[in-house]
Amino acid sequence: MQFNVSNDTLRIAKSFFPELQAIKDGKNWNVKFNNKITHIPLFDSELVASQIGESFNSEAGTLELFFLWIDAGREQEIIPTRLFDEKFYLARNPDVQKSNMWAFDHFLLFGAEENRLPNSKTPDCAPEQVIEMRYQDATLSESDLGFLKSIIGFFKRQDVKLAIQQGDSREILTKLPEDENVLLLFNANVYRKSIASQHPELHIPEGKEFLHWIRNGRHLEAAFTPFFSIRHYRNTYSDLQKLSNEGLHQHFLNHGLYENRNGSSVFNAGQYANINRLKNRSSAVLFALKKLQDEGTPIPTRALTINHKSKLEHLAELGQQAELMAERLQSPEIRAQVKKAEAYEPRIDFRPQGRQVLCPQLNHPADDLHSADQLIYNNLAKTRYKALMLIPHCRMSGAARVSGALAHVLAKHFGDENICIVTTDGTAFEHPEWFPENVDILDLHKYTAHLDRDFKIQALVLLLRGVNAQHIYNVNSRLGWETIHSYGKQLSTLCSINSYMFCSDRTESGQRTGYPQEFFTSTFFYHEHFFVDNLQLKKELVQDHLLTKKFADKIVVLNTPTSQQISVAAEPGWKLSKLWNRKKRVFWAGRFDRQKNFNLLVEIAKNMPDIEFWVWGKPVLDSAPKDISEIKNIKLLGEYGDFSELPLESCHVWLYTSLWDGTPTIILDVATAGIPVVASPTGGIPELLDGFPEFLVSETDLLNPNAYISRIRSLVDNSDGAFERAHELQSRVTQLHDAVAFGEAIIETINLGA
Amino acid sequence: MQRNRSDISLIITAHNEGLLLGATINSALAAAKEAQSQGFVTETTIYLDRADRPTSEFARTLAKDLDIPVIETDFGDQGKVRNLACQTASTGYIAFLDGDDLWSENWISLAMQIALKNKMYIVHPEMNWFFGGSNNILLKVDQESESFDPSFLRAGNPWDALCLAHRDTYLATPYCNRDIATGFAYEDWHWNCETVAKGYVHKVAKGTIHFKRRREISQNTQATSRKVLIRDTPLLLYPEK
Repeated sequence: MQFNVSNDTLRIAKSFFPELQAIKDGKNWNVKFNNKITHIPLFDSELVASQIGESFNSEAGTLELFFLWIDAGREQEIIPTRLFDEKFYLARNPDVQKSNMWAFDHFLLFGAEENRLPNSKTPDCAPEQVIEMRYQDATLSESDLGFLKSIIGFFKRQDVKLAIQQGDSREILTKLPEDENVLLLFNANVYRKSIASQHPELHIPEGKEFLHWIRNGRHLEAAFTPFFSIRHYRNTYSDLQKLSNEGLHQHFLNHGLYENRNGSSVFNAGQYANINRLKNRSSAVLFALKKLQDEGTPIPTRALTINHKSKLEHLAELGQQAELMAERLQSPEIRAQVKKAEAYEPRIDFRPQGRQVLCPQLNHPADDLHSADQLIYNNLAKTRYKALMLIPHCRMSGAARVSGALAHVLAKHFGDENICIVTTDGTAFEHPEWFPENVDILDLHKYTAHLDRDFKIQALVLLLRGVNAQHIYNVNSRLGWETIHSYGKQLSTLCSINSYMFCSDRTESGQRTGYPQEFFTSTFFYHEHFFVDNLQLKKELVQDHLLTKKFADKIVVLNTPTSQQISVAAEPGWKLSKLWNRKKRVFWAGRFDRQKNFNLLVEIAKNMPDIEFWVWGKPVLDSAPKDISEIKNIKLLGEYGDFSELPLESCHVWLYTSLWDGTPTIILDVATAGIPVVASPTGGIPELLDGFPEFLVSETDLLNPNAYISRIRSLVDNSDGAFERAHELQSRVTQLHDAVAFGEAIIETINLGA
Repeated sequence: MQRNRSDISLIITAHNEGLLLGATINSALAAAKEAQSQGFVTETTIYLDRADRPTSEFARTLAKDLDIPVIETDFGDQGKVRNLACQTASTGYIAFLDGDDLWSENWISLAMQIALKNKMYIVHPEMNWFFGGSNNILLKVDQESESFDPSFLRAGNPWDALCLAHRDTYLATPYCNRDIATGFAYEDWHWNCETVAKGYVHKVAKGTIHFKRRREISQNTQATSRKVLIRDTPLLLYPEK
């Protein structure tokens, strides 16, 4: 692009473009620009266009407008930047006042290079080459140091704090950009874009964004993070309305950030802090950014989910859009329409301030749900499944094993590709080997952890409807239960709902509680079937609700199949080993908590000092007794990965002390392995041990250690007889808990539903 | 009857609004007058659906004074009222207004300018200005804007039913019945999903406003607290990857 310009015009143009090449052409000069210019530092094109009366098109017109301004705009004394304060400049520079030269011309031709200030707050409003030179050896002013001192609590590094306290400008400039909180919160790209949109006349040298913010940006409305907007902060908190931009920055970095005030419209800091149970004065913004940086944990915002740092720039843009929308209310055309309607209905009350402007995909109440739904969709291996199995997570638990057995049946019936296992309440999936290899697993919890309860439920509903699930199998998923409770009526018209229940829990006072009490009644009619793993629970539910046969038939007792992995002790050859004969051993495994009655084990062990108790497990819900280590005959062996890994050849008797239960898979394992057992009479155990009174403690003796002791004693004293009976139990259990029969029973329920 | 393609029926539906209906009709008449000044022909009708006595009495006297027809129905369902109104209307275009809400004066004329460009357009105001129990503003998104993502409709309703569209649009996609007992509601949301799925385009008339009164508990709030869901619609299925 070429221009023919006068001497004077060339002189001014060169103060913007020092490298500009010009060729003499008579009295004038020909200047040529090889590159397309859309942005000229110290020259706000839109501002100039609006004042000079030209329509401005940045694509074609930046340079034309620039030369028009040099020739005509300067004559009208149009200052091409809002940041040059003519009165300030003249007052501070009496020599300019005396010179009769236009103040801006003076600044442009001499003042900027002489480091004369263009205004009282943003010193770096100057041509690009001046700024580049200045930042090669930039220092902090007294005012900058005072500001840093005022926000010293925000910084994390002690050496940074010390340098600020000592006013050591060099040290501050070296270390400050490395401060952890600065790195987390200050986003150079966000700042650069924000400055470019609000003050295009400001030039920021590459890599000097934070220094630029300290020197200039703290006085402006430019954003450096999507989590803080000066305008939003000022408009939202009435107590802060009178603060300057610098004052608002100070307030946010010293207080608001830690009080979890909403620094911008796109992120609800208080809600995030609540959901993540952050401690008092723990900043949700810093916590979320740290989790994103260290663990890649997505940050849910009102506009979009941030799963990568690069998305923060987009979020900042959306935040800015939301603010522009709020400003739209102030526009004359909207104002005029509201005023007219107010004439009929004064309660409409035109006051744009204090109103929340909501817009889908920016800050709409459904945005959180929408972004979670999109995350779920993006992470689904497929978009259609016939059956979804909802499980809380997969840890070492009987329920998880049962869900694995159920998944095998469903995968066989519907096809691997048609079922999806959904973890709803946690992300742990510790035993994938329990599940069919080729079945898809979705970690719903991961994508919904940030949502409040109701949205979590709705996200699950959207998933169920999104994949067009025809069958829901809920195995101990709390979110599953809550969803069926809330929307079971509707879901039951769209698909069949089936839930597994194992047992009622007990409160401290012995009252029954848990899913059967919490959800059975309210969701009964929405269910196609309830599966239970023991007849006792079915009886309990039937009695509690006086269910007639028709309704009772909805509850199907399924005998959990025995594990295929356990080597059956056909002949206890290990009895010949030295270890076997040296000492009698009782095994116990489970959580050290109230349900498993760990204290009873301790009591029994104390009274059988000649017997070793090998114990696997760890405290889960309640704390274990403190004095276990003092009991010499209890050997704590930690957790085990799989039952088949246990040294069963050393076990004389397996002890089971649970106070309430379904049909414990571990008792099935013990019985399958052909090991004698002494067990409490809870849940499905009496059914399992029916006909084996030497293994089963009577109901009246549930809490009586002597009843367990006498049985253990009798079994270890007569090991041959005990193992003979254990083999009989083994035959009964393998027959009753057959995997084929289990599968057939489930498929029968599907066929019934069809 | 020959329908004029640019005639508009302004349908006001009332139930128990009482005197609030006065301001509503005032705003509708002002919008009608503005539209007439732009050359549009309008006809206003009040539908009273299971209206309570004060509302019915007030509406009838008002209608008599203003020479506006009143039609009484016994549906207890706004969707059915709207469907009937569409079947009955003799105009090319139809706009709905709830008995306690107000239109901005420019609504009909500006919305019609957009609607006439394409028969598949469904026009919404730029914003809902809530007053009374709420002071939120809900901005509507133009379906043809870059920021519109149809998947948002799975999670929330970006528009409502108080729109202006060609009569054929309403006839081709009637509102579904309100049936809280089955747990399905959100007829407006459902209608928006269905129309998007059928290829209609929801547009926004810049500068226009619907003033929505929040009285005690709105129907949507009731729906939320009653744990209802939107009925099945193709948009609820995840798109194939």
